[in-house]
This record gives sequence, structure tokens and C-alpha cells, in this order.
Amino acid sequence: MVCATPWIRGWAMNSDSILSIRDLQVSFKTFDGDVRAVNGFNLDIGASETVGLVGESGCGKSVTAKAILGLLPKKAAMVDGQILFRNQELLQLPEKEMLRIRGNDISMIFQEPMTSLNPVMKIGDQIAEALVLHQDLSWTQARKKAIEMLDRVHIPSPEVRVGNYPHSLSGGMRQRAMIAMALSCQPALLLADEPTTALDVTIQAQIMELMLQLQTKLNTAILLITHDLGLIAESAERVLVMYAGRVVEEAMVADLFHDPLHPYTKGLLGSVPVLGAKFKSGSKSLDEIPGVVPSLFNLPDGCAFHPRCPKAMDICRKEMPPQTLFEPDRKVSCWLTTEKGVDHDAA
Amino acid sequence: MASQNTELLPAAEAVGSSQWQRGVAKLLRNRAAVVGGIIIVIFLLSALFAPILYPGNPNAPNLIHSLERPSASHLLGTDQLGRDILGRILYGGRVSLTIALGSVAMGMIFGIPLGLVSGYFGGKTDFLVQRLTDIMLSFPPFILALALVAVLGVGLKNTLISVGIAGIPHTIRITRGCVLSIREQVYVEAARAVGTRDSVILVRHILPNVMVPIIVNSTLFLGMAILFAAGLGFLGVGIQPPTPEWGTMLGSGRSYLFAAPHVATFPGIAIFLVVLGFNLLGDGLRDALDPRMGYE
Amino acid sequence: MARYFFGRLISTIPVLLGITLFLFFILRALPGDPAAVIAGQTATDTEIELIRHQLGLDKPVIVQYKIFMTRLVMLDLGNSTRTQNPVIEEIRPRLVNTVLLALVATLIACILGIPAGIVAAVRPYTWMDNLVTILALFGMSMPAFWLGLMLIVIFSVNWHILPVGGAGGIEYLVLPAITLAAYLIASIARNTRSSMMETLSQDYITTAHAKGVSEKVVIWRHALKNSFIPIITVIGLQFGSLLGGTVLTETVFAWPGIGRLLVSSILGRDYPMIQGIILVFALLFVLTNILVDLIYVFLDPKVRYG
Repeated sequence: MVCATPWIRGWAMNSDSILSIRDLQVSFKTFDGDVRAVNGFNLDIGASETVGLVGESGCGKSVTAKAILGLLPKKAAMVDGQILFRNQELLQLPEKEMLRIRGNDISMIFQEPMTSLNPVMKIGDQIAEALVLHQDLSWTQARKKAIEMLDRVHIPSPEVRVGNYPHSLSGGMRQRAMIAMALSCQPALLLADEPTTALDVTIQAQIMELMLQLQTKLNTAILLITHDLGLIAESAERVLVMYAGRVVEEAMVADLFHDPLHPYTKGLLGSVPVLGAKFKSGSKSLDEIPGVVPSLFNLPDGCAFHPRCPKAMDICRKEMPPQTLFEPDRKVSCWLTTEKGVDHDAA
Repeated sequence: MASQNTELLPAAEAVGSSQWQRGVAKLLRNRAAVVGGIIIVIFLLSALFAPILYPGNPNAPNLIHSLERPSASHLLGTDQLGRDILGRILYGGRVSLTIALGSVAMGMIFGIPLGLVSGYFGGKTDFLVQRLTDIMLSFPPFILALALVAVLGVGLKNTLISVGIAGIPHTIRITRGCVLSIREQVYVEAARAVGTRDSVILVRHILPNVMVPIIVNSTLFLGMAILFAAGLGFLGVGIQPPTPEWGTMLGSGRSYLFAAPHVATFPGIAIFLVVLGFNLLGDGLRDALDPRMGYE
Repeated sequence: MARYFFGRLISTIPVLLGITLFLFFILRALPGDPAAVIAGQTATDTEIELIRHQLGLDKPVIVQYKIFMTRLVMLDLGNSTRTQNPVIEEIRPRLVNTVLLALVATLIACILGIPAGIVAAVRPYTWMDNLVTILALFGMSMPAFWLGLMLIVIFSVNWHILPVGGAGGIEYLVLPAITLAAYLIASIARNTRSSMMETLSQDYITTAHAKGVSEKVVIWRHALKNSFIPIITVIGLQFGSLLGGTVLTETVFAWPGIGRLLVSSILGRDYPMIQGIILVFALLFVLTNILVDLIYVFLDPKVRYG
């Protein structure tokens, strides 16, 4: 049917990408042994692109983001692979240089605005801090700029809010403040780790809209990490699906939703309830993927998904499928779609 | 939709026994706690077998050998009345053990029921008990023990009672705090909804959960009790000579500090080691059994 | 803020009342007759009765309490049965000495304990952390009076650099202050360590790192203020132990404070004195707790700005 070209490891940085990750491996040393949280992760992000990274809790998405910024605990985490940002190999960079990149060229916002802001520091000061550090402003100048930033994220009465503490703001406003803080130095890349998960649905929409607006203005690329497929469908251009530390499928958003290739992706999309639709099997209950996500201490041999895969073959149990390029802009890690597989899914 | 858990537990385990098993395993991995435990065991054994380890009367004066430095015949030397210090320390261990266990037991016997009742039933009982506890806690603990000794008098029994009473308010507070947090749990509400009597709820559901922080704090308090008793003894208002108590021995040895410092040094080391043992063990217990239980 | 302060002061009044009640009644629960003790062993019954009448001990207990409270408000704590001087007069000069000792000890404890705790928290499980943890455990297990005696042996007997006891210049303050501070240093170090470790594991610290803030600045600007609140609370709680410790330390070093006075009063059965000194100790403790509450309020913006 369709041929696949194996993706060459160590592929040189795509000239359009500002961030290129190749074969990222992250392991944690725990008392009960080593845990492989990320197992061969590849990614390219171009300037101003919005890329989604989707997966369930514990699949390694947050760990990946933190690894990019070097935020993982140095003693407990072993990070390997290549992370190229504008021709700099981030994993080899000395800490002093990383400090300059964080908050400045690459920023990150987090899931819980309640706990992600320092409760004893004024909002304005927290935003100003980034400006003082990276843009060489004085604290007075930075605080003025902070008011501007608060205005940009549509927080009313910014001159007053600048002197407030986080507990006086609502969840949505806190997240806006976080965004203001992250975008204050106009980074080239924003890592957004579940930015709307902790917010009400209506606020979610507002926040996403704000982020996309600012992205266009500031020319920032966004890596949107979430478990919410709906969010991806609305906001991202390209999407990566992650399972047990690996990317199992990567595609343009429209392609993924229209024609998923990996059994896991199919399962994910199939299990999203749709109002009024009849389920394929004719039953009245939701289709679910049988089984549970494997413990990272005890990953299955071969393809990590094979115990739950309806189309698992012998080779799936023995060998891990490589990430293969399958049509331009389509990558899948599945034996079904490579030449080695015997059974090709006709759909 | 697939489960959100990344960690696959083999089966849903009952909280009760496995929690203890895990706790004990974790405790044994903690080297400091194990050292503490060993110290305590040595302490207990030496106190129990004191008559065998040191046959003879540790209180009998032997003035010819007064204030001798440590030697082969007297491993830790002799005190001002010629008595063997090592023997007195061994027997002193019995005294310290008695006071420690007695006062902690007192604290539990009075403190736990009061805390349970106060926390569970609330209302006027709670208010009264709380105000009483507040008042007792307004006194620095050692000062409170001193005041009680001033009232009751000196000696082993009174020292035990004073130290015991000084520990009651703390026990009440811990118990009550624990009860308050458990009381709101759904399973307590469920038990009540089914019609279980309060007394049964208290004993079956609440008490076992209270025991965890109580055990941790009691271990630490055992050390404190020994320090308190020794302090009272040192000042001369605790256990009286000739009964060997480490603090009292320190107090009497104080006058000979220049000529024979060993008389005061060794009892102090004994106190230090035993209290250290209880602290190590107590800390280890706290880390091993649920650290979330919210106590000092 | 002022309103909060005032409110706290008001709420301590019932507690203070309770303290006086408690003290009053337990001191009168004594198995024995203070009048007889004061009169001496050879006194006749009439003489004892006379003294009892003088002390007002023949009146009903409630009346006694009323008299006691009225006198208390006028700062009349009675007279010492040993020196016949007013209790207040005996306490006043010595109180200054005790407070001085306690404050210096607290200062030493903060200066040594807090940095130690921070270092241990920032480099957990390294040799520095282990050293701090071990030393802190030692400090909490050591009987203060024994430590004092050992320090005397080392510094006064063997090396002759510091005096054995008494008061005078600053050299007399050194050993007592260190002895008294030992337990508190250990306590503060441990609590700073755990408080800092708790703070450093919070999400907002990750946010600060993600902003590109260096480790030193993260500790100084972001973590410390958050950690301080529990530390201050602990200092307040431990101040009680510190006050209790003054009794022992003053005895060891013959420091002329109310702690040593309390001991001699107990041995001499000077009940008005005992009562007075314990009241003063309790009052000091309560006031310190209010002070700690105020500092707490000042540090925590949630309480301050609502």
C-alpha cells in the first residue's frame, strides 16, 4: 500500500526549525530502580508554529518539556540525546548560558496557576524579575513594563493589580499573569504544560485565545502539552501523540483526526464521546482501550502498546518499532505501517 | 477511557496491615533509626540485667576508694562516696526507664481519652478541655514540672507524676488534632449513618489512626521525660540520693568538677546516649509511618 | 494590623486569669501547712495560728483568691518568706539578667541555626547536610546542664580562658548563652532544613527557575521568605523550652537570674516567691507568643491584606 522510509537517527537540524530534538532519553534513579520516562523522543518546531503534544498523564510529556529547559533534578535525572535550539546543543550548555535562555528565548508556563506563583511576592515584581534579568532594565522600568504586560493579557486595572499578591487574583487572571511573565521577554518558543487544565471551561477558551493572539504578535512558537484532544483540534497545527515515553504518531491536526494510523490514536479518538452519535459496535457504552497504562518500572518488551493493541503481531511483542516517515509530514511508530509488517490495515 | 494511573498496583490493598509492613520495612532501611533502636535495646537490656551485670549494692559507700579515676577494677571510676560509677549508671538506667515509661503512660492514660472526647464531641466539653490545655501550655513545660514538684515534694513517685502531668496537654493536643481530621472523613460519616454507636466509632475507627502519631510522639517524649527527670534530679528536687539517678548523680558530682570531672561526665554521657537513641528512633518512625499525619 | 494586635492582647486576658487561677489553686493543694513551715519546728500552735492569720490563710479560699488578685493588679506579689522583702523587689533586678541571657541565646541560635539549616536544605544528602543533621540531633539530645558542666571543665578548668560562673563583663555571658542556645540551635537548624526543603519543592520555585533565575537568587528572593513563617512559629514554640532551660543553665553557671532564684525558693519553701516567679515565666511565654503571632501576621500577606 504505502511505503515507509525509516527516519534516519541523528538527522541534522531542519533549517526551518528553531528547536530540534533527536532521540531524547530521560531516566530517573529511584529507590526501586531506574525508570525510563522518555524513550527516544523526536521533535521539530518551526518559528511561530503551534505544535501539540498529546498523551495521558504519566506518558512523559511534562518531563520532556522540563528536559528542554534543563529543569530536571540534576542528581536524579539522566538525560541523553540531542536538543538543538538555534544551533546550540542545550544539553551541553553550561548552566550560566542556560540561565540566559530560560525565560528569555524559551519560556514555560505551568498547569496550576494557584501554586505556580510565589504567594509572598507581588505579581508585578514576579513579572518584572524576568525583565530585570534578561533585558537589563532597572526595577522601576521593569515594573512599568509589567503594567504594560498585564494590560496586554487583558487584566483590568493593571496599575492596581501590579501591586497585588497572587491570592487576590482569580484562577484565570493568575494564568494570564503567568503568560505575561512568560512572554515578557518575547521568547522564540513557549512551552505550555497543560495551561488550561486547571481552569473552568469558559476561561479555558479565553486563555487559549489570548495565547494564540499573542503568538501572532510576538512571533512565538508554542509547544502545547495537554491531554485534551479538543484543545489540540482547536489550537494546534501539528500534533504528536505520546505513549509510555515515545511518540507513536505525528501528523498535521486535520490528518490525525481524519485518518489516524496508530491503534492508540484510533483508540483515543474513538473513546471521545460525541453527542448523539451511535457507537461503532452498536453498544450503548463508550469504546475504551482495554487494559491500563503500563508502569514505567515494568515496560513491556517490544512495542509498549502491544498488550492493549487489537492488532498486535508477533514482532510487536519482540521489537520496538522505529519512528518511520510515512507520507510527508506523517510519522508513525508501528509495525503495521512499516515494510516489515505483514498485516496492513486497509482503512 | 484508560486509567490515569501510571503505577500498576497488583491489587487494591487494604490499608491496615500493609501500611504497617511498609512502614517497618522503611524503618529498617533508615540506618539512623536502626542505630537508635540498637541503643535503646542495649539500654533496656542493661537496665533489666543490672543486678547480674553489677552484683552488689550500688548505693553502699566505700569511702576508702572515694573519687578514684577509671581503672581496671572500676571501669568508670568511683564517686565521692567510693561507689562504682558504672554500677550506679546501670541501676540508674532502671530508674530512668521507670520514669520514662511511667510518665508517658500517664500522658497516654489521661491524654488520649480527653483528646478523643474533646475532639469528637466538640461543644462545651471541647471548650473546657481546650481552655484547660491552653492554660497548662502557657507554662514552659519544665517550669510546670518544677511547680508540680514544689507542690508534691521530691522523690521518685512525685517526679514521675510531675513529668507525667507536664506531658498530658501535649498528648491531648495531638490526639484532638488527629481526631478532628479523621472525624470529617467519609467513612466515619458512613458508620454514623448506619447507626454505629459513638463509642464503637471511637474505638474501632478513630483510635487506630490516632495511635500512629501518638506512637511517634511518645517515643520522642520518652527521651524528653528522661531529660526532665534528670534536670529535676540535678537541681536537687527530683530523685533524692542515695537512689542512683543520672541527673542526681550529675548534681552531686558537680562539686567535684575540678578534682574529679569523671563523676559528672559519665552519667551525662548516659543521658545523652539514651535520649539520642529515642530521638533517632522517633524520627525514623515519623518518616516511616505516614508523614502526612500533621503533628509537630 | 493594630486592631489585630489589640484583639490578641484582649484574648490573652482570660488565659492570664486562668493561669493565676491554676497557679493559685495548685499551690494551695500542698500537703502541708505553709504557716507551720514558716513558723519553724519549735513553734507553738498559737504562734502558727498567728502566722496563719497574718498570711490570711484562715479565710475561705475564694476570699483568699480575691485578695490575691487585687494585690496582683497592683503588682503586689507578697513578701518572700526568707528575706521578708517584697517578691517584686527580689524578682526585678534578676529578671533583667534572665531576659538578657534568653535574648542573647536566641540571637546566637538564629545566627548559627538558620544558615546551617539552609545549607543542609540546598545540598540535601551531601556531607554538609549529614553533618548538620547529626549535630542537630546531638544538640537536641544533650542535657543542657551537662553540656554546661563540660564547657566549664574545658574552658575554665583546663584552659582558663572563661570564668566559671557569676556575672560581670561579657566573658561571663559567653558560656551560659551558648549552653542555653544549644537546644534551640539544633531545633532551628532542623526546622529550617525541613521548611526550606518543603518550600523548594513547591511549584513556584520551578517557575522561578524556568524564568532563568539563578539558584542563589531563588533561595534568597523566593524561598527564604516563604520558609521563614514556619521557622518563626517554631522559635515561638521553643521559647518555652528556652525559659525552662534558664533554670538549669543559671544554676550551673551561678547566673543571677530568676531561674536560679526559683530553685532556691523551691528548696527553701518560699511559696510567695515560687508563685511570683512562675507567674513571671508564664507571662513572658505568653507575651513572646503574641509577639511571634504579630511577626507571623506581618510576614504572611494572606493574613495582612486579606
